[in-house]
Amino acid sequence: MEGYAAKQARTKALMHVILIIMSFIMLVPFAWMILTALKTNQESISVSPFYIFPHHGWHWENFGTVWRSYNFLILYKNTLLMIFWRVVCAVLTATMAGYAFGRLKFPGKNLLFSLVLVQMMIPAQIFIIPQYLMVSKLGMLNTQFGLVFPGLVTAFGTYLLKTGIEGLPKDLEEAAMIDGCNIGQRVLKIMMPLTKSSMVSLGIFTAVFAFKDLMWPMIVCTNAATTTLSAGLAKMQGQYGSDYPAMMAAATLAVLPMVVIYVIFQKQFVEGIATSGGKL
Amino acid sequence: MNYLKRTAEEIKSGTAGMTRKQKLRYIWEYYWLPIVGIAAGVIFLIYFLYHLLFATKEYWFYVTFVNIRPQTGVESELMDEFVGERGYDLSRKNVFFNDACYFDATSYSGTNNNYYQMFVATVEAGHLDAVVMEEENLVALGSSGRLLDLEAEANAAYFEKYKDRFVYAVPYDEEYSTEPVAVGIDISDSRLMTEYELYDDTCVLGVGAYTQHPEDVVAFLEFIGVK
Repeated sequence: MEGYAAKQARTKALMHVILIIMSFIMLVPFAWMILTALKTNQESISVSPFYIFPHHGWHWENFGTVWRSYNFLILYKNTLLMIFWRVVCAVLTATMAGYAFGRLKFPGKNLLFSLVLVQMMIPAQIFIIPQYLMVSKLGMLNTQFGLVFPGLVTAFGTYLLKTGIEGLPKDLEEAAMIDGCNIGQRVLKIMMPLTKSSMVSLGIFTAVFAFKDLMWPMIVCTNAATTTLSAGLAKMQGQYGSDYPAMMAAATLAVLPMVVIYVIFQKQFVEGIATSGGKL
Repeated sequence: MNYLKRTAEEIKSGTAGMTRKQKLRYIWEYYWLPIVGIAAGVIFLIYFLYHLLFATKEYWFYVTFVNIRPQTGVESELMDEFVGERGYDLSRKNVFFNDACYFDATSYSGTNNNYYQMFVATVEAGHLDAVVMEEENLVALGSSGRLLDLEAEANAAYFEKYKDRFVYAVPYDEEYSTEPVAVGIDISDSRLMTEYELYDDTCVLGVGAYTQHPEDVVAFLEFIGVK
């Protein structure tokens, strides 16, 4: 028995060592980004492995330089607002559409749902030009609505919520119906609390994709006052193309909101990935 | 309507004998969600209508500078000078000098990025009036049909005086032409090179395939000193 216990302990220790090494590998790019942000440009382009840490002092002023060049407060505000509205709209519309497809009976339901699925199979780039034309004709370029527009509805969310709602027993809803709940009350008070995990998953996916979205903000925001972190960072790439510490300082500032959101909602992130089986 | 009538009756009977404060509390308690929903809808409608009716939707002039360090974009001296010279009223329409666009039309991998897709969207939307880039890049872009044929009948009057500067490309679309067509104007001796040093060797201006403002492109050419 002792031999077995020792073997178990050895396996566990080995697993931990592997996991620690993997975690370290995952952290290397972030550490490299932060350390490069604190170097001089000369140091940052050195390929010497001994130049991991800054040798000529820690240049915190790199953060100040990019902070002053680009109004990061505006970028943070625009990005967080876009994420907020995209999550609200996606969760709201996907829940209602998911309920309609999952529970209600109406003519052409399967055909309509097939159309939703077809949308998931078409590359998003196909929609860029028509969406841009719509937003432009509506006078919504350089507005928060323009940024949120492609995320108003989500085919993936509709599919996810439909699946979630279909998995719930009908008895609960029927009991609510007997108690006098109308359709709105059934969705709000019965279905929504029970599909909370799917809604949270969708919210997390939407938030991460909204944060990462580069192309759409670049197209609809030609104005520095309305642009987002991703598009602002892309612009900096041109301006500071050879100033790597400045670029890395900007990248460090740009990832901060997501890190904060992740730290706050860590449990939900893990649950969300487990629920939907997706990856971020 | 029946639903509204029924709800009104329910509120009336439910709040009978209550003070105004109690009535408001009762209504909020039972109907906060429709109230919030309607309020959000009304606010959105006002926001939407405001932008639909009053936003500046069109451009006086839209130019993209490809593969340069940002220095000639929005709020640059170049743009301010051009807007001042042309007397554009920016409260009516916009002017956009885009200096954050990077792609290489000579290779597939060079166009497989967000900047190129953004560029294509602005061309297809008819917003892009002019694009400034290196000659080799522009020739490759011109072959794709995203640039105006400067010798086509409808455009010849505008660009004829730059005939000796034309840069040609053979279109991929053989139905359009199998011969080289004029897709750009060589501006290597313009202010963009002498003053701003945008590129090392060549600098060519192309016109967006669906531009609505060829006369403004000509004005821009004159502004940057192209005779």
